[in-house]
Amino acid sequence: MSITKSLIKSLKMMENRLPLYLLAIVMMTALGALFEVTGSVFMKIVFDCAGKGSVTESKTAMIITIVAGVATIALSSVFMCVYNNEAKRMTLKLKILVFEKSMRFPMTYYEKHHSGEILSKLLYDTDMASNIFSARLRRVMAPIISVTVFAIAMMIINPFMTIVLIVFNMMLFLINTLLSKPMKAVGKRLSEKNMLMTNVLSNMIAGAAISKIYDTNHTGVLKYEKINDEYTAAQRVRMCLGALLETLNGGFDLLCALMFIVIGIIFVGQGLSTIGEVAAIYTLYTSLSWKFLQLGKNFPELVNRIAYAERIFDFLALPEENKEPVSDYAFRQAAGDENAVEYRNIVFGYQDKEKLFSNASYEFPANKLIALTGPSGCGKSTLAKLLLGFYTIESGDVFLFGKSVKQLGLSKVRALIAYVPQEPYMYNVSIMDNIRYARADASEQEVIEAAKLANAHEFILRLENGYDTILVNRGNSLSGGERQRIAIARAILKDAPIILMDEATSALDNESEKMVADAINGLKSKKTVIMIAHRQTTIRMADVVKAIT
Amino acid sequence: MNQKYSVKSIALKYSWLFVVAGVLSYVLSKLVIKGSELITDAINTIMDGNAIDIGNLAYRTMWIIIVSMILTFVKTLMGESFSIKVQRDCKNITVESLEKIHYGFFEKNAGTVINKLTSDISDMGTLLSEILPDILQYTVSIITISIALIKMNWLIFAGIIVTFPVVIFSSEIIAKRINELAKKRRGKYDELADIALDNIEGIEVAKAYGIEEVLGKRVTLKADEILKNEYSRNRYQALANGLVQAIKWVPSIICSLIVLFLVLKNVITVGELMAFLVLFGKISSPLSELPFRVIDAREMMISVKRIEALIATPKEASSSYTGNESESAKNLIEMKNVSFTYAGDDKQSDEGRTLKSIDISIKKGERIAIVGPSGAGKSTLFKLLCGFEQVSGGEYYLCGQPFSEWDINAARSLISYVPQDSFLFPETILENVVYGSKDMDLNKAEKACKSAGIYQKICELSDKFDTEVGERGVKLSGGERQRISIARALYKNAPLILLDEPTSSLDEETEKIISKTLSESDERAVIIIAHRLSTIKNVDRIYCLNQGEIVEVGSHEELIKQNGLYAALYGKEGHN
Repeated sequence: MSITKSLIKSLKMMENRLPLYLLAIVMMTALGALFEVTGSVFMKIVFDCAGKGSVTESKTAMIITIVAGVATIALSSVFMCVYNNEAKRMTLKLKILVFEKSMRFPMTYYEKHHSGEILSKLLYDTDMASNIFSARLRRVMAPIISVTVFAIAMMIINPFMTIVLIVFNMMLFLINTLLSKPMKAVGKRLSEKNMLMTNVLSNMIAGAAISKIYDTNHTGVLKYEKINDEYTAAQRVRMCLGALLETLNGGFDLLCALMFIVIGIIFVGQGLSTIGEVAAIYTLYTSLSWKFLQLGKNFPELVNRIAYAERIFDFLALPEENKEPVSDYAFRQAAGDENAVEYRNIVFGYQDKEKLFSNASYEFPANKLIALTGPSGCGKSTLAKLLLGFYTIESGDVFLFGKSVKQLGLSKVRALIAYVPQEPYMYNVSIMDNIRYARADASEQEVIEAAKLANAHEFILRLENGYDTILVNRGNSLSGGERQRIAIARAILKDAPIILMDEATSALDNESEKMVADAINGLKSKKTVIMIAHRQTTIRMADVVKAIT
Repeated sequence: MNQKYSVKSIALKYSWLFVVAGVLSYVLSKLVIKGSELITDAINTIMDGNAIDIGNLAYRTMWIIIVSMILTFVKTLMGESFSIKVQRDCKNITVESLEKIHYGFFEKNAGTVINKLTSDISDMGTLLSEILPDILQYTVSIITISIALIKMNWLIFAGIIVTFPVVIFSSEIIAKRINELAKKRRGKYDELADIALDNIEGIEVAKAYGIEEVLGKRVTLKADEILKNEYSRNRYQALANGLVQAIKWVPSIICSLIVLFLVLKNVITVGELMAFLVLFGKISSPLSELPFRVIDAREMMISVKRIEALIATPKEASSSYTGNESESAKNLIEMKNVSFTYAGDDKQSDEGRTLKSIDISIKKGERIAIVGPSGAGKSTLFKLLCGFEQVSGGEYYLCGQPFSEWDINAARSLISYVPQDSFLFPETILENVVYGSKDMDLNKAEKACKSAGIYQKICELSDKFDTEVGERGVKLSGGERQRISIARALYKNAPLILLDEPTSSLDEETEKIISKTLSESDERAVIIIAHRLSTIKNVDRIYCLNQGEIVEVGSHEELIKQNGLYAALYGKEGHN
């Protein structure tokens, strides 16, 4: 069965921790049950003393029982701690796996799925799936373990009475199982109706204006009251089933208790058992019947959670972006007058849309400032993204310093390009770290140098916490121009031979625009700078202007 | 609908059911005591070395069982009926009140009301069908069994009454400490999610700079931090668990030792010891559960209070006039010297929310446009027309009758409204188009959709008119949603259409439809709040609003000639 397979697969994710985890479950539950056994043993001693009319012989036994009880509960708590630790370790491991995976897809994945959507679904699924480890599995195992412990203890105290009781419990269990199906069906109907009612309410509230103008016949209220009647009818059915179940359970419970005591009395009368044994089994019996009813009850929940685990497995199995080079390829920067970038006969179009490029070729010379121009929608940004390998071209090839991108592999291609997107993303870390992400081993001094070249140093120093300012909400406390300059600093720090910049379309203030322009001017001739240009000033600054059509 | 309703008064209406359930609970507890007495006698007889009449004992036991089963059944039915009836009535009253609540309330509270109301209603259900019956049963059994125990020996009762509060109190304190730690943990998990979101949102930069690994490390670091926190929390939790369990054992040890002492002193018999065991089992869980149920009940009462507050929220004013068929008033709408200020305290948004000396009259079939800079009061004017707000001064006549004398629903049946942000219900397209009408007329709906220029699109969908829109259904563009919203207005076939044009850019099709709606000559009057002055060149009259006042009235040509505000707005749009 695939459910067992998935459960095993989930458990296998715990690797070498699995035996410890399972042992912890068994021990914490068994010891917890044993604790209750010591309670009933204590009762047995009390009753035997009462029967005999003296306590002198049993004092030590009483103390030993209490000490044993405390010891079992202490040990059980230790295992509980181990269990929880392992469960949490696994939960976080699952989260890490999923979060790391979520960054390894090709760019098209992120364009198709909204980031908030990806995350909320992932969070929900992992929470649900990790529930297997932190609760569901234990809840299925615990009643089995406890019932076993209780049954063994009772057997030791008095086997015959125990068998009678277990037979009683089996019958009770059967009744509950028989009634659980119609109960579940009613429960489902109730939650369906409940959802419908909630819909009517939320329609009335969210669409208040429309409701007020259009619903002059009170159809909303009438619909609600009609569903409410149906809901009430379903509740009545559940009430009857519930009352029946409670009556049978309660009655049976009473029957068992009283019958058991009657049988116990007969046994005592005939000398087959002591009054203490009857008392001990009676106390254990309450726990046993409670746990007995739990058998199998939690299984559906576990199955439900396994479905989420399967979704996580599917997610983890999704194809990742392949960044490896095709062949082992040593890259040497070409000399002098070679083209930094060359698109050769490329064909590309977005899914089921017209081809943006059919057999297009462009050449961008090295160490020049190149401006790409063209009307909006002509594919300027797409050209940049193709270079970064965010999309795969259908045919043709792109060459970086004369080497085919396909052979270089995405990692090496991206290492050669420092990209400044139109709306550069600012991570929720300090400005220092935001720039340093370009090169993890850069010293503070290098970061500051890069910021100076990007005309960002001045304004950063003016901030209250300078370079340690944490950028929250994508850095929206900064102006667009300031964010742009931090992104340029990031690009400079990367020290890649090609700087690829998508100029912001939204208006920067004059000051910022000049600052950005100056920064770019400073890079000219040291690097190949490719600008997707929207502004006349930028185009005027360029060595080469390429019109994309 | 001025009758004052509260959840309490509804509960009182059905209270007899609850009382019967309470009495039955009492009888049931008594039966348990009766049973324990039977056992006491039997054991005492045996301990004295005499034989007992097994047949008689079994016979009497059976009777107790049968009677208590029947009583349990009836008791459960009564208790549940009470909760079901109260729930049904409360829900109906809630929805009836909700329909009539003043529009401004929704504007202010829409999001919170939905979230709270749904959970409040379910809380109320839990309170009525789980918590209250539990409290009832626990209280009754604690009292009856306590009395039986006191009768047996007051020392036993004293043992219970002293130990239980101590135990409950101390375990509560321990549990509270743990909860405080748990709260801190919640925050840390949110931080983890924030980092993950940050990573995904910045994926473009991450890919371009090849720093996926570096960013992944942030997740790992945070996860390690959480794990460390979890470990210490787990230690606390295990410690608390051990302590609580051990403490909970104390009452039973102390009480049984007391009873044992009494047996040895020959104050009570061994049989009574057995009865004690049975009764103790029946009282110990109610004793430890009752305080928590009371706490739960108190929490859920907050939800009930919120529902009551909602029911008590001021309703829309409505009078009795329902119009007559041969309506022959000259003006469909007439406003004379109308002024409006928002009552209440939110001064900060006063701009664009007040109107002064508004004079408007609209005849059947006229096409009217309202223009003006944002904050001029255009939307406020629409709200007055719809009766969402009441005029503060001056007079507003609908079909010659003062609006305040109209039955609010009858008045609104004369108006179709297309809001700026077209709102579609998460239902099928057909249900959206025919929304609020008593019967679904597919032919009429098709006609309305054809006029609204959306029929073709609907036919392309796999489920046609039965396609669900909204979160679970098909995604429609803004223009398509707008056109469905227009189809809804056309379907209603009211003599007045109010159309609030969206500010965001319209697609060509929608713009065409709006122009068509304005130029088609029929009986209907149309009032449009226009943002694109190009759509309204052919309307009968344009009212130009500024700072809550009508500054210019006239046709497009006249207003251009006046060279005032309208001409300035028109020029700004790039027309010459």
